[in-house]
Amino acid sequence: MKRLLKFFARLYPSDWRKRYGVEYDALLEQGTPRVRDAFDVLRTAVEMHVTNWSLVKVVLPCAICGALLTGAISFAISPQYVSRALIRLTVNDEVARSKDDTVARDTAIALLPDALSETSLAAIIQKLDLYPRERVRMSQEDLINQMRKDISIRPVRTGPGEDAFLLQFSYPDPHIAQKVDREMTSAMLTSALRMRQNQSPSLPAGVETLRLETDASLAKPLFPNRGVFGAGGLVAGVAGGLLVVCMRRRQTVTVS
Amino acid sequence: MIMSDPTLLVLSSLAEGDKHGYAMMEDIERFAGVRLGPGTLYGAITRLEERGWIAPVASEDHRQPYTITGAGREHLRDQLTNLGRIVRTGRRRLENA
Repeated sequence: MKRLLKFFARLYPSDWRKRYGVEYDALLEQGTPRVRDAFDVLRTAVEMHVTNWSLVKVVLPCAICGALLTGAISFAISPQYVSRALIRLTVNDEVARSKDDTVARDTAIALLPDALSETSLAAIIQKLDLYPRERVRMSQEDLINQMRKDISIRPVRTGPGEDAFLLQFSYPDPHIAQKVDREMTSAMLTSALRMRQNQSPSLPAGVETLRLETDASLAKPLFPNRGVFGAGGLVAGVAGGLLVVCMRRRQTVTVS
Repeated sequence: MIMSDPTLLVLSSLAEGDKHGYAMMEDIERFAGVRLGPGTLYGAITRLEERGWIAPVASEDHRQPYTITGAGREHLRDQLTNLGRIVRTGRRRLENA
């Protein structure tokens, strides 16, 4: 036990060892040390380091550790990519003049039942082998609900005489995300064509053409944003370091 | 400041006379019933010496004795006065309760 205590005593700051080392070792030689004495010596060694460290010496390592930790976490999380497809609608002059901005929304609403139908989504899941891990533990209905959560559709105002809606799909694999977008937009365009041929009243009047634009810029994942993760860890590390310094200083002042 | 504050216990021990670390540990255990660990004791000694409340005494031995300084006595007196006031108040309130 005395050996262990002397080993822990070597962990004290070197300046402190220079001043008190000999007499401290002499103290540790006397009496019968107990297990709690070993913890006491170790705890005080750590406290001495923290007390003697300057602000920079505490805060900087904490900040670096925080950034490294959150950076590592961001790499451990499987990334989510978002594919984007823009469906542009050309409207006739009458609609354009009326400045009616609900055409894109109404068109999307008209086409959604087909595109988001259980049959359509189940076919896409099957064809592209989506959610392989989830398929082991989830029912088909839950899978389809999961896929619906990963899909987002919103109208976008693009310019006079032209309207659009944006279809987004988030998935860990960027190429598959794009394929899903393509499948869905293709289903929507086919549905629009069929509705027009059948002169369906669901399709808003004034829509002349639907044109598809896909966005191939999927190099960066939407989540996790590693820069934000790293910066967050850095800030948390700085805050943690400052907290440690403040607590130590407060403790020292209280004792005085 | 609480009764088991190691700095107060060390000052109280040295108020009786100069002592080295191990003698302080034994004395404190005897009069306060508190067994200070070696790390806690030397943490307190370090802080007290930094504040000029105790000082090392010349010695041939590896075991360094310490003495309480004038400022240390004054600080101990202040602390004990405060503690005495708290003790008296607490006792009185207990008796009147």
